[in-house]
Amino acid sequence: MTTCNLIPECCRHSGDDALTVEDYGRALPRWCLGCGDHAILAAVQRFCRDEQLPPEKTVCVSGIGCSSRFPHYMETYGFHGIHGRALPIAEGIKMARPELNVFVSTGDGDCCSIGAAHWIHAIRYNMDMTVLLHDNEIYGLTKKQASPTSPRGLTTNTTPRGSYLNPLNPLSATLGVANVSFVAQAVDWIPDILHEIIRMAYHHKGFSFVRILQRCPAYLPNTFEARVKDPSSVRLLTHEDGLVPTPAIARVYGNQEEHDPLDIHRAREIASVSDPIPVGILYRDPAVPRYEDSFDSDRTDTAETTGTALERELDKITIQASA
Amino acid sequence: MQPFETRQSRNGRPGTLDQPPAREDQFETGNQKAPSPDFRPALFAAYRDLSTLRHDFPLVLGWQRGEAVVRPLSELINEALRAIAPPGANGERLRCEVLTLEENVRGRAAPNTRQRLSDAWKSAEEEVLPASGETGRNELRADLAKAGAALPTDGDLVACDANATADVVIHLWRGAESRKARAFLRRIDRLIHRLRNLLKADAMRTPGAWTPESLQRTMGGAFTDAFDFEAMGKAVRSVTCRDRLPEKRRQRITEALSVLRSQKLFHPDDLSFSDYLFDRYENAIEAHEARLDEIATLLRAIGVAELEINNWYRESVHDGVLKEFNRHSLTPDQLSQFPCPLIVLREVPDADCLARIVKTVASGHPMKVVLVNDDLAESSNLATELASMAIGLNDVFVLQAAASSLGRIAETLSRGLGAERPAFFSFYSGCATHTPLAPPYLLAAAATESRVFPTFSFDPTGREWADQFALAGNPRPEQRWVAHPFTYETDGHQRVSEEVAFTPIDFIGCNRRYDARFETLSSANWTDDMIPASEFIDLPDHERTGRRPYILAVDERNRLWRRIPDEELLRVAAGYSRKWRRLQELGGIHNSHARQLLERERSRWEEANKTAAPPAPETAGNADIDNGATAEARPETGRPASDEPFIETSRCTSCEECIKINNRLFAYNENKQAFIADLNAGTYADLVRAAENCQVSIIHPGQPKNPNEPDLDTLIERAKPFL
Repeated sequence: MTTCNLIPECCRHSGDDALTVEDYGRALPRWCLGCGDHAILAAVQRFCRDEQLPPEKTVCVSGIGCSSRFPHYMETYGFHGIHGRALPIAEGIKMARPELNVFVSTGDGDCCSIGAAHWIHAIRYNMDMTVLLHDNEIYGLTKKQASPTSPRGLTTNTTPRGSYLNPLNPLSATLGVANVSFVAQAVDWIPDILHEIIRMAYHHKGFSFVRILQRCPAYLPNTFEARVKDPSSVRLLTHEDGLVPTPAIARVYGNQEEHDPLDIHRAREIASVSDPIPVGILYRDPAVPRYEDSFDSDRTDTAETTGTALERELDKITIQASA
Repeated sequence: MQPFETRQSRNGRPGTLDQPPAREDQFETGNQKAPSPDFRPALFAAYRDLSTLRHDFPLVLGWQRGEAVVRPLSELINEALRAIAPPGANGERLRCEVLTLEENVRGRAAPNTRQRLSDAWKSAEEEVLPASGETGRNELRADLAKAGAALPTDGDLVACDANATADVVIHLWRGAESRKARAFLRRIDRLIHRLRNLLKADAMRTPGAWTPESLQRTMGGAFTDAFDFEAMGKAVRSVTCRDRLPEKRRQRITEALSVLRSQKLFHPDDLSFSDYLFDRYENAIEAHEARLDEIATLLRAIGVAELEINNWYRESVHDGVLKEFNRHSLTPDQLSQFPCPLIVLREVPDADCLARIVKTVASGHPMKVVLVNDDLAESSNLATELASMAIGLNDVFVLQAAASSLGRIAETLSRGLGAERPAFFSFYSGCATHTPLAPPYLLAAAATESRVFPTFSFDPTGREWADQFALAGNPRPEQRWVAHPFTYETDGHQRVSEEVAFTPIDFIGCNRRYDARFETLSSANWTDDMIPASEFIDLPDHERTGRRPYILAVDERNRLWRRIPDEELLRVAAGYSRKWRRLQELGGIHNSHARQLLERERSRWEEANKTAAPPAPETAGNADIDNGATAEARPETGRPASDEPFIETSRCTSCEECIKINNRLFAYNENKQAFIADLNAGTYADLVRAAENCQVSIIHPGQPKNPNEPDLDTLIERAKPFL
């Protein structure tokens, strides 16, 4: 049963008070000038405007890091959580209020290091939320330490002789977890594609994981510079059921590959390649079950029922004075 | 299973079908005078006693995970055996025991009685247990109890009788309505909960909520000694927002809440929906009309609730709209969210009633109309035409099937009953009065097999015709008639095998009323000019001359006869043949449009092949295409023709660099991407600096406008990489 069937069409949200991009913006972002986070914020705000998402029905959740200042700049509900715990917080919100639109902003350190365990299980739970992994391959907030995705040999404050380890590949890791249902990759310097991928991620009902390669001009100014200037360094993954670039984008980014988002084996091969950068929908399967659906019961949780259940549980451990 | 699908005799002896062979079951060619007319089609010979045959009936009408299901008894037992009896010899004893019990249970499913499967199972257990031998009794009892517990569902056993179709339809309809009711009630509960929260939040802003007693209540029973609620009240009063809900809004919410709480269209404790079940169309319409006001009121309250909860209610817009909303505003989509009346008709309605049904259904009112035909011969021709005609209404779900298929079409039937649109179902029960020789199940199957009453469905929700119309459920839908191997023994004890097609004439031949339309001939009178009716029906008139059509029939002693139909029967059969051909075309089988298109294209291709020059090598063509593609793929600069500065706005990453340099020269558009807002608001130096700082190099400073700008030569040099 859908709302639209039960409310007269003319009664629905009228367009005279349509929200603008500015309505979704809050404070002036305090990220460094030129930071890729600006592009991601602009894309999300633009998407919210396009979909007219009610700000009071939208929650942005984050952990710790540069990217995690994201909720401060969105005029929606927000939860700036603790390090690595953005995903469990988002899951809790979704469990309690399944009707809310949940966006998670998490960084490569927040998600792939301290929050890695939550990340794996969040993929497996496949709860309906859009997860944006702001991957700048460095800890920027704490002034340049190596992150799990830092390239091998990168000199940082914690790896003065260069990073020893090969970087973790968030796409491959996500595609390796059971119940994965949506994996995409975007780059912050192609705004239209970033916006389109966020749109598709939002409309996927399940855990939509979008890795966004993001420039950090303050600490890694050279990492993506050459690729930004060379369109052939990006390979667009196109498909009628995936990313369909506009003619203008398609002309500029001619390096393209047709990839069926349902083909997980090819998705894993694509994920393992970093040059050229694959951009598009690597995998999408709307049939994967969602954790919240398994709790869809006929019962409505009212304050009374919740209170009674809590009392019952607490009574089990409460020590009461004898009469 | 289809009664005609299994043709092999158990011991391989010729002349017998599925039954254990007995002397009287063997076919002989009759060479005596015709006996009293109790003929049956030759292909029916093996099916005199269906109780020993594992077939679709009895059905079990049960519930699994809250959903109504209709499953053949044999299917449930197969599932139970798969779960408890290991493959191979180890499970063989258990399988034999359970299958013996199944035969007993099958015998208990008598026509026109209803018994729970579990009750029949217990009674059958007692009957099959051996009279003596305590150990054997206990072992068998344990095995059968284990099998009984492994049955996936329990429910009423339904034999293929006059009420079977109605029972199955009503059961599945209750399932569909229950599902809808559960979702609706859950939705209503949530709306009530949220509206109450709005009122509660408002109440928390009243002075009454800030008293020490109220505050203490919010803390519950624990830690009350740890707080000074008097002080808390003062603190809360000092910061509490005192903006109350406007009186009009509070009243609106209260009224909506009251309607939602008192709605009676769905009863959580009564999911039988007996108020929505009718056997007369007029009563259904009357009851439906009477509910429209209540539905409109409830929908209005839901509308208010949704708007208020989402904070979308605008009095200037919605007051007027909701005031005007009444029973005449209801759309079919909205009506389909409420219980859909089910009308089960036992005979073809008269023309007046039929016209009213068509009018209501065509207007989209989500009614479910079921017509159960007991006797196709007794009914007017409309009985076999109504479903085809209903497809023409376009937005109506349509299903036609015989009762013998009920187990197999349950899913389609359930889909139609649950569809948010009107539905029309036409069934043939097989319970004709003049065919006592054939049990209803067999007769219903014969109606499908003979193409007199084919199975088809039309679901308007399909994307295109191929998704909407289905002929699934018919045996060998690609063929004109269904033929089966048939073996008999001649007077000279010679075995003869041939393919025998089942035609509408065979189906009509089951009905004694038409005996006079047949001339019955023993083998002594068979001549070479006789051809099977299945071949004769489709012959053009000039080829019919000098030939006599026949069908094969057996008498009570399984002696074989040829029956010659009269002209009228042949005409009727030809009519059914044409109807079936039309359905085949609709189902995409031997489609004449496709065939003609294919022929045209083939002719064109042959013509072109005769005259065309040899094709150019493929690589040359590809090379042209590649060249074109390469040219197209060249990056677009977007550079203006003049030396004006410009920004590739669509590539802007909103990084704030240029805005920080000069927020009057540069500004963001509606997508938060930069453009040059006012060229006069900045200097060439600003443009060059912005171009240098732009992370994605999309700012092009052009040529300076002001020749007197200081340090211009240096700036022009710095701008060169970004031109």
